[in-house]
Amino acid sequence: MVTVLAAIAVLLTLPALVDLIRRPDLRRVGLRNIVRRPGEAALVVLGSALGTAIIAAAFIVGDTFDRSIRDIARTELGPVDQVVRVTNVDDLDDALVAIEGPGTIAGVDGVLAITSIGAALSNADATNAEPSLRISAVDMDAARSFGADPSITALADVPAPGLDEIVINTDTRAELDVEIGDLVAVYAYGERIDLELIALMPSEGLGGFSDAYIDPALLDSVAAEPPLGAEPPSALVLVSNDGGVFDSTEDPRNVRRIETATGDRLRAAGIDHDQSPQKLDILRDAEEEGDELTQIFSVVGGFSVVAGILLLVNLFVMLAEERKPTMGVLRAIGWRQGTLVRSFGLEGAIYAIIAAAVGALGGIGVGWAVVKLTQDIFATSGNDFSLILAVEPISLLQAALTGLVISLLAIWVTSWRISRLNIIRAIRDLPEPVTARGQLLLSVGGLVLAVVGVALLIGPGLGGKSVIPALAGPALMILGAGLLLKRWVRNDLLAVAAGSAVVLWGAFWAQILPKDVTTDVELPTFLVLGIILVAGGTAIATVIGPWMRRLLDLGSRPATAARLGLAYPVARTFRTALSLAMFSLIIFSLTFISVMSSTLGGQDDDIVTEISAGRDMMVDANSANPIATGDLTDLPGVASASPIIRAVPRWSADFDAESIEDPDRWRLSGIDPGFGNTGAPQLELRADRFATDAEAFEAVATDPTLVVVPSWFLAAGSDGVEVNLQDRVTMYTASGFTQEMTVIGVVQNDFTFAGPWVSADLVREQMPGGFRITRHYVTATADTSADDLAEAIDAAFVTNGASAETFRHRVGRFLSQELGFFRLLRGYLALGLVIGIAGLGVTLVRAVRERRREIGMLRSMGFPTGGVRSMFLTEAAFIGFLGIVSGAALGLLTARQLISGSDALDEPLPFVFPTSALVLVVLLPLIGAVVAAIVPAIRAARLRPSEALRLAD
Amino acid sequence: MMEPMGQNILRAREVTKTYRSGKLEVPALRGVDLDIDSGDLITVMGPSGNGKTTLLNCLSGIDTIDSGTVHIDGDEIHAMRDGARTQHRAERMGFIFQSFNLIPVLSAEENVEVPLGILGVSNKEARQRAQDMLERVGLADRRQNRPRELSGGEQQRVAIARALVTQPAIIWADEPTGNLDSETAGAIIDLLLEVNEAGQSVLMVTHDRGIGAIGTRTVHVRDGLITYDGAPTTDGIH
Ligand SMILES: Nc1ncnc2c1ncn2[C@@H]1O[C@H](COP(=O)(O)OP(=O)(O)OP(=O)(O)O)[C@@H](O)[C@H]1O
Ligand SMILES: [Mg+2]
Repeated sequence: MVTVLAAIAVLLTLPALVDLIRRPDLRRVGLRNIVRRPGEAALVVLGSALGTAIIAAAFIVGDTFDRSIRDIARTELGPVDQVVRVTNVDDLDDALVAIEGPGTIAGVDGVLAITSIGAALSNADATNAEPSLRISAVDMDAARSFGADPSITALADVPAPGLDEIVINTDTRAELDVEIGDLVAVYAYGERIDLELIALMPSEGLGGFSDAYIDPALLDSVAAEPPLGAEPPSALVLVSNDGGVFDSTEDPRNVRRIETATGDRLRAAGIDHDQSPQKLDILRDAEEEGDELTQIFSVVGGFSVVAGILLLVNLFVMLAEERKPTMGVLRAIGWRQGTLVRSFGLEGAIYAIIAAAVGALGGIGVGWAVVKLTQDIFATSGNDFSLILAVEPISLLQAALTGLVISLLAIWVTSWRISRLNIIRAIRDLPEPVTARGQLLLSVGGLVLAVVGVALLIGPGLGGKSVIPALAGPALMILGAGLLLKRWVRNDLLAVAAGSAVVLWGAFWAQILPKDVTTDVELPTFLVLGIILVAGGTAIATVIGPWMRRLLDLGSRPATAARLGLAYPVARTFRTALSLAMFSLIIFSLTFISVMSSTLGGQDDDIVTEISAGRDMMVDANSANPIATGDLTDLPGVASASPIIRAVPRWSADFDAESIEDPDRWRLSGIDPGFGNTGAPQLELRADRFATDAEAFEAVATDPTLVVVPSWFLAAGSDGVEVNLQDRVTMYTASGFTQEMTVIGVVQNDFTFAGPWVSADLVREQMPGGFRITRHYVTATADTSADDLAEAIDAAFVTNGASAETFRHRVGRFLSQELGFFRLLRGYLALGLVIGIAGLGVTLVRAVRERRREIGMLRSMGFPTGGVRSMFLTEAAFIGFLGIVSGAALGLLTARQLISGSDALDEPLPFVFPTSALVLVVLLPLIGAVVAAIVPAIRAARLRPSEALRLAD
Repeated sequence: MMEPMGQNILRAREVTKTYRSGKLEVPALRGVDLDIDSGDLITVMGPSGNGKTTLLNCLSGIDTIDSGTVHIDGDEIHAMRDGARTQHRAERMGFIFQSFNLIPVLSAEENVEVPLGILGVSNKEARQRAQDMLERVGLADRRQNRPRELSGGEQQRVAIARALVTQPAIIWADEPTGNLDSETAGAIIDLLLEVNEAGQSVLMVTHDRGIGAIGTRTVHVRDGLITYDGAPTTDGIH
């Protein structure tokens, strides 16, 4: 990718570089033009640098997430590549022997047996506690030499704890605030054991895999008889592949091979087990998550990048117009057309190179800000995942090259276009007439576009079931048809007709295209959609100008200024269209995001009602030390507590072919009859025979063949798979028992991670050793506030690892994370606004210069300075207003369509009009546009008439 | 708004103007006295670069002066605030330059309406007056055209229509025929003569000896000084 980009960039810069060295005349003209107006050159650079910065920042955010998630491999796995869970604790030693075998599996450099329990820890007087930790027992000598590189286990200097001793990692020490020699309390299986802290280990490698280590004999005695509903110790065999932390999974096939070999040996020994290639999974996740974020930010930034391109083209077109007479003279004295193109190209290439470099560096700053804000969002929602800023040189290079290639393409194409001029007409500053050949070219171009459009629609679109070509094809067809008809139809009517057709297509494509094409709507689709809609909207808006101007024919003095202010943008259709589109695109994206976030934000009450099942909060506890339901109801303030049984069987479903071959683990919630009496989670789909949701849940509680599932159960929700009533799912327990079930209800938002809801009796009977009662749904008494009760429960059951959270708090936390993310995206988009506003400013500065003579004349005729000022302000406000209105209208339309009109979203949401956000989205840019015009307007007004007239002559 | 013939409407005394750009100083006017009476048609002649344009700019108030006074209708225009001076121009003056300086994005008719708009004339009336004016300069059938669609002579006629449409007391013309062939130039001069006969004062800078001879007075400018002010003659200019 980078090499291809680099090759293109070199190809595009090479001619300019050669000229820079070999053509002093071109160099002089190019450099002089830059140096003569350093301020404007800076603004041009800024405009395209922002585009590059946005791309660079997108990469940095992606790299940062990739790196931060990858880091989990270091902090929580170290040498561990594969974790084998042995179903029966007593089989652990045999499993170790089996895997070690007569000869080690090729590519494996370590095998280690370890036993773990989930437990709570506190300091001696229980003032500081950590409710949910993993405590393990291991042969310390074996652990120290586990894998090829002892330094990555983090246990190198750790002594083996004795029977009344413990080793904890530094993270846990910080939470408990204990020192070596202090007593540490361990709570497991209803007991408290005080142990002396003898050593600390770094929170990485095996020191991160488990938070604390105790003596194996101690662990055995503690876990000798786990009470019913508590999780017995897990017996694990850790396998380390050749290599260190990150290079051991470089070849996924090798990882798979080792996994298979391990499994074969265990099966041969007849040992029941479960395998997971944890490191590969984490690294995969990291890459996926990183790529996804890069994509999100690239697409969102894409709006700004496109706006930046429009600005660049606009500036170059203005530049050319300004220099037209000079260019004509140069042509007259013997410059060829190619020479003109090259002189422009040279100047542009210099801008582009500087912009790419500046932009890539600026991108670090933007990326840093985004990462910082993301971290804050995570922090406020109680997620302590920490981000490590990663600036990969290769990403910066790629961003710089992308920016460079985009700018250079824009520059060369515009240079070529503008250097095609007639010498005489250029010198006399006359417009290029429409020639028969030009007409023909236009028609041919239109035809080609239309054909390409049809081909896109039919080929990859409908044929390949790919949504972007299917979306873009018809838009190109309309554009092509418009160009074709231009000869015969009045241009303004044509613009309105073609523009409206494009907008209508952009609004209703989802309903028009077949469903199997629209299911793969992804983020980039919205960028394409935005561009299509804005193009259509701009075509219409350019026609509105003349009508508005006619309305203003009032004849008063301010109206004269306003009329003049409108006259220019109205007459210069192409440039105005570029500015409009630039603004419109940015406002479109801002509006769209605002609607999405306000719709999401308006959801919390509904979701609370949906998930709360008529209760106030859920209380989760440590699986090794669950809270007894009776203890919970005894607590003052608790009105009722319904236990929910949790277990993790495997599942398959008839709508998910993959799961039938290889059933997935999925945690269930088991309920007893009577659960529905207090209320039930809201069902999105419910079998007709039940009158209420509660009735359906009661049926589940009593009938083991019925189940309620979340809408994203197993594969549902991806690739258009939907779970429906009457679907069949099958549950498999470790002991080989299977139970077929029929779906009688679907839950929309599984914010509680309840999973499938089944009968508790079924679980108790069929998975006697596999279930825990780690969750309760709790209602507070009328005189107790739910928040206070949650705090009281946390405090009372700290040793059970209790975590009580009101449903409202939980929903708020989840939504705030998503809303924070939207805010972040909005901030990111606002960067585009900077491009838009700065762009408008530069455009106007140039306009002032271009119109000097006319300004001088107006002033001579007695046009007051204020009039000149308001002329320019009107122009800016006009472009800003039209751009904003069309962008906001299209954004609202699209979001509305998406939210309530189409199948693109899994769930139809109520459309929430983003009133306050919209006021901002509309007002800020409008003010920005006018502010951007102030400097040029004042400059124009300050021009002394005689000076302006003289300079221009 | 026309004055009785012969009444003084502009009185300039000891006007000096020096251009400074960096260290370079160019004394463009070095103490100029000039009177303009209503009904005058003054032609200003002199070699290139000797201060004719500067004189016109300074007397009309579109440029500042260094010292001296310029009274128009009894008011010292260089003592006024810019706003008042601008207003004064809008009400009392019309300008015609060598390059026509029409607003390219407006039609001929709209260009002529602009000064009326500045004066706050209602839209309907402005349109009517602009049409009448364009008819007078012989462009009734071209009023919808943009400047680019007109020939140089036609553009200058639009510019003249624009200068005349407010019926100003003084018309300033800086080489109005400089860009035109002699035939077209003749038509332009005829127009100016016509309005002058109706009582409007005209001050016209020209290089054309033939045109220089048609005025009621001729002023010769040399080295920033008025070296001759009297009956039209072309002696001793070049
Ligand atoms: N803004 C300026 N800055 C510096 N010098 C100037 C400026 N405007 C005019 N001059 C100089 O002042 C002198 C008078 O200029 P002016 O334009 O009045 O001459 P002119 O008689 O109108 O010439 P022409 O017949 O060529 O139009 C010239 O030497 C000119 O170079
Ligand atoms: Mg001159």
